[in-house]
Amino acid sequence: MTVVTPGERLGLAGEFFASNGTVEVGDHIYASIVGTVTTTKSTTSGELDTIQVIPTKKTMKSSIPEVSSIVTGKVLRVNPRMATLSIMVVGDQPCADNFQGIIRVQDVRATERDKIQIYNCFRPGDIVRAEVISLGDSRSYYLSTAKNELGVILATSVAGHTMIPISWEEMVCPKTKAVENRKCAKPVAIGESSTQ
Amino acid sequence: MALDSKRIKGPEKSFVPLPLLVQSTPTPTPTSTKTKGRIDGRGTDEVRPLFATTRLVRQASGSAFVEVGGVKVVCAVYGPKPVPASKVQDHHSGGRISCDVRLSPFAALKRKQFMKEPAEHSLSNNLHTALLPSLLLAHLPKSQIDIHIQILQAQNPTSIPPNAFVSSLSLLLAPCITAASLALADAQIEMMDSVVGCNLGIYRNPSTQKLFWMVDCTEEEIETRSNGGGVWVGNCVVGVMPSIGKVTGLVMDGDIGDVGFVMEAVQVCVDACAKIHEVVVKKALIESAQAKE
Amino acid sequence: MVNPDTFKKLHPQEFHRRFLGKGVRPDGREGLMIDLLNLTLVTPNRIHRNCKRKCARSNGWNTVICGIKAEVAVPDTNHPTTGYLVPNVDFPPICGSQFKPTAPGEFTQSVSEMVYRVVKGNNILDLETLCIEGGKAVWVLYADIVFLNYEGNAVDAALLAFTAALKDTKLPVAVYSDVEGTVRADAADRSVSLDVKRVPFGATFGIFEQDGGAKMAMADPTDEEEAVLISSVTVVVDGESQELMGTFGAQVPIDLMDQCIGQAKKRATAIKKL
Repeated sequence: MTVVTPGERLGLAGEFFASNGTVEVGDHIYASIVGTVTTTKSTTSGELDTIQVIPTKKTMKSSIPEVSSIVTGKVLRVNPRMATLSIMVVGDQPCADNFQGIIRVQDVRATERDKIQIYNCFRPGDIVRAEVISLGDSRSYYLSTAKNELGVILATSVAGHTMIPISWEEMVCPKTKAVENRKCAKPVAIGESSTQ
Repeated sequence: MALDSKRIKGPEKSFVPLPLLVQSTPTPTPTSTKTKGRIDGRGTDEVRPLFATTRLVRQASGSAFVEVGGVKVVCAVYGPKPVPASKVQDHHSGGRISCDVRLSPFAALKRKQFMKEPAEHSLSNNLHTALLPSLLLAHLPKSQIDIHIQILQAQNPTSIPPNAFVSSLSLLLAPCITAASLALADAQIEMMDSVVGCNLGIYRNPSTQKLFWMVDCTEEEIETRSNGGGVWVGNCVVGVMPSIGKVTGLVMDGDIGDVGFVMEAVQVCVDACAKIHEVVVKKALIESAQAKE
Repeated sequence: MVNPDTFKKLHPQEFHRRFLGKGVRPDGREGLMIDLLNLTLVTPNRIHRNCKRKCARSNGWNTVICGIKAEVAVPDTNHPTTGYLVPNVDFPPICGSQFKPTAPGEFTQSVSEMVYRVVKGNNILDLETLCIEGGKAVWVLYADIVFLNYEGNAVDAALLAFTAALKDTKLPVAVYSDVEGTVRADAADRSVSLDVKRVPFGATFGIFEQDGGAKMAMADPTDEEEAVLISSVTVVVDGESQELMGTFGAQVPIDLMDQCIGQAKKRATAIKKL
């Protein structure tokens, strides 16, 4: 396997469709990262083959949130209009530095949006899984939990114990049996995460 | 100097001891002006051997170490990370980079105080200029890449002690550019091409008034102000993307006065950079990639 | 499915508790035992020749470089024959993303201060030997300890780099001239080595609270482990005489403290061999 370095000429611009890890400058395609070259034959005739460079090192790049990526983060603060999250994991890759995202009140769930009260859905310290819906404003990404598998995946009760979801909008503390309101994610993932 | 309560202080003033009155070794100045060649016997277009490696700083996304002559530079790249709130401007136009170059207190003959030297700021700015064109920052919206450089050694210990802390910026800028670009490539930041830096000293022959150049000047060559029978008039540093053949940064100073000659000098630097790229930079990157497998 | 990296990021406390509950560390080391294998001494000459002496040390993955520069200064009028030894620890932003390019933070200052206290309080070097001419000129040794890669346990690594550099330091013979009032020395001369009396080695232990409230100690904590510790203690031992030179820390049960000191001594003996 040959390794290419940035700036290595891979072919003419008319020859391939330049994909990840490559860049077109003028008439030529160059490698833009260190990695190995792979070309994929196009399935439809008349289209160009795709050329890409597969990185040799696991990149940090995939841990930047993009539109429609699933992120996991911790709730920093809530107010009646939105919950602010610190995004810690993108996909299954932890970020080196946390990004900031917000879940606006209308993006919490898909139905009965007018009845949503943020405080009954998220509380500071909760671990939430959400989807990026836009790059948002200058500070934050806009996130949404309007899907069954999205929402709070880990929360602690007032007494300080990890709570168990009992419905899609309620969680119960195993010790005090107190019930608190949350926008819960479909609870399959919780069982897996706690057994590790 | 302002009082610094955050560090452990020594005496108010201290000095490097003066050399002995009777010099045990003769100064190289008188001999080198007479001989035609360069002090270290290189050809005019020959660069010094350069050592480069990557993955020195495990905490960073990517890092590199470059050593040329007496200059030793470590570079670490952190990020991509969120743009700090104070720097947010137009967030849809791709990422930004921040460069920070620092000299270690023990980098030169005289110990550096903790206050930042003006030279460090100017190095950071020039580095920023030289790197920016090579990076494909449009692929990294809303994020920032931090490039930190620590200069471990800024001058050859055997060279003649210069008066200023750092006699010439150009000697440090070229290895900084090379190291930073190498670290960025190691961090898998997308770029058009790696940038390689090279410096070039410009000399004037005192009898014919003709200008001539020498690639990759050492500090000694600049300090003695004379080399190969010429008088030093200036120097230039070029940052080049060798595969694409584009100049990304150019710093030039001195009393040169001939535009045609400047063009020639830049071309010479471009050629030298291509050589460095082929022999050293690519090898370092391929080596580190294969070590990982 | 949740992978271990994600779990560690989201729930550091729980992540470490599960490991330590079984007596294992996330990086495969055993609880209290100290391993010395992660320690490498890089030949100082390879890294730097510019100042009098310098040394790069790696403690686990920490990469530390200590440069000692010797300069000449006028001594303090109250102590006309005492030289200066000025240790400073610096964490430039290169060594970790948590360090910002500003004035030293509290953490940097506290590490610096800790090294300084060890140096000052234990008479490591007889400062009288740094005298060139009484009342007129003495040597100042600036020891700058710079971290290039930081992964926890700063004090141990900084002390290690400092001692190694100090032991390697060689000064030129300096001559004071009354007529000129200046000090002259041959820059190439490296003949006088320092009379290092004691060799301080630090051993830091993190105290971690287990599920039942029982406390356990672990040696050489990484920065990830430091984040979940309830407290930590640093034991400084002289490599030559095995004497205790000082401890820093808080909230440590007495029995654990005994264990820590014992381990620290073992470690000092082992490091000395390197």
